[in-house]
Amino acid sequence: MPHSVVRDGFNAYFDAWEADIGSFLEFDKQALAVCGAKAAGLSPLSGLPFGVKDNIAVAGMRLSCGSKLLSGFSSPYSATAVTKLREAGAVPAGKTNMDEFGMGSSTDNSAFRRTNNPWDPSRVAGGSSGGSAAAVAAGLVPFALGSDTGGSVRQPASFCGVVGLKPTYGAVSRRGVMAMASSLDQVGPIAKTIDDAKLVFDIIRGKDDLDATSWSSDSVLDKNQAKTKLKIGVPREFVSAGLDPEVAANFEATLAKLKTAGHEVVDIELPSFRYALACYYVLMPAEASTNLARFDGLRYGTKQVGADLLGDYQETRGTGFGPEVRRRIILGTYVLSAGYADEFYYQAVAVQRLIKADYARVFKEVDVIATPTAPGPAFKIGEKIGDPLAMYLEDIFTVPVNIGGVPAVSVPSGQTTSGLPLGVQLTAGAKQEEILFALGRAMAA
Amino acid sequence: MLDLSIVSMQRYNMVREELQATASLAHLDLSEDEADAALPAFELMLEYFAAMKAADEDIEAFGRSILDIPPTTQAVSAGNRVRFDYFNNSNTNNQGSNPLPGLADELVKRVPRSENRFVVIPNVL
Repeated sequence: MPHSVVRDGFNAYFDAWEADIGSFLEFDKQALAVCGAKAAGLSPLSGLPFGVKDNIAVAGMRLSCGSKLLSGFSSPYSATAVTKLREAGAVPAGKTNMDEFGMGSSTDNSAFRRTNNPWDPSRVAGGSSGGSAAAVAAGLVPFALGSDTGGSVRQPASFCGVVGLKPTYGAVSRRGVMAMASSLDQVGPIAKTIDDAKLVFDIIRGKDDLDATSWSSDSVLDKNQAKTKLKIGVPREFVSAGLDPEVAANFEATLAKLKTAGHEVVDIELPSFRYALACYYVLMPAEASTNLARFDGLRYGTKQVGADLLGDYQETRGTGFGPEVRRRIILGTYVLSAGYADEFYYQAVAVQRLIKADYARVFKEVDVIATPTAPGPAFKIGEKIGDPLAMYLEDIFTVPVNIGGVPAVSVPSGQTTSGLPLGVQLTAGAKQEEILFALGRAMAA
Repeated sequence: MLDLSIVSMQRYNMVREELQATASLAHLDLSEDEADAALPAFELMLEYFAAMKAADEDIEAFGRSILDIPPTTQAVSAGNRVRFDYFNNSNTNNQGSNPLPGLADELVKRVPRSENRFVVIPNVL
């Protein structure tokens, strides 16, 4: 079939889906012509288009982070992860929608458009990498990059029925990724299958001199590579309360399947996890309020003119940032302020150490921790927008992973009776992504 | 809905002036009406965060008090890494054999208001 016929067919398919789901903020259909030319390359990803979350830089494309404050800003350079994929022959085809600056669990906080779930457009795609997950689920791109600070790759992957990997902290360079909470942020792939996610991860991982927290993949410990029967820990206390009944049943069915495949399932205790959500929602806004201080209208994006320099700052930030970003900047400033830092920020960094210690202890006993990825399936659009704490609770299973700096993957685990996808989150010790891939394959089998 | 009362929660009081002062520190303007509307959500969240205090004495969970635990300073303890400081006005690290014009120039081009490679700001003197 001539390329032009395939392209026309794809364009019609793309436009029909995009009208329903709104996953991209920018899409370069011309990029698909380049894909055809590169298709015969040596890398398995050669000639494949991919989506890039709009907080990850692609030279010449927009870099708005879903924020009005950066509308019209285009990046002069590409993130290292994007450059590595380009060098492997893959083609960045567009920028995907997201919650403004990554703050949200629904993509409802984007300043530009709503992203709907391809399985049910009256429901959210999850967030903050909702555009990337929805685009992959709808087949608009074979894979996409997201960023995960507290579950932003895994939760939308779960809501959209695709695979989402949050690698070990430092496994993938953050150069060219707009910082939200620098000690928690990590770039990760969203793909249809575990093997596709691994292909992308193997290309983007590795040390980068331009990100001092990145480390060489040569240092990966592979003591468990040869293991075929894995020990899976389930934090029973943590996963028993407040789960949607269908999520609970699906989770148990997944465990049963893994047992049948020969893996061992045991109960574990992670007592510090009861403090994880509070810890996260102190650390994240504290770091974000600091990182977002750079957006003052003088150096980037749009500027609003006030009466004086302070007026410029206040006008630009007041009108440029949306309500959730403003809320988190204020929270972050508050928990770092002189009178309250001990009670909030320093308490959170102490709790962080307990969470890391719990992971270290448990990973001496088990190879993997399994939980649902989210407490329920994709919720209705706008359902939680007025209740920040209810929205934050969406992240209860995903945030400890970022606090501990360990890797985790959300793997599709089936559907609710009404046909909404569900996911199970598998977490391993630092630098143990290979175990996650092995077990993820067992789940899909 | 998950059970929030995982730890004992006490009412957290915040006054509007405190919220406005914090917003002002963050260079965000918050009107009295906006502050009044936002206050209950802030109080609820701070109440939830303050419950981390219970971890101090949660001997059942941790086997000891956490008061003597040094705070975490790095997510992954790899030590500090620094690189040689140099001036590089090209963008070759990203573009291989096809360098763009100087990255600094490219960045200055994107500034909302500039003049001869300087960023224009209001007079502060």
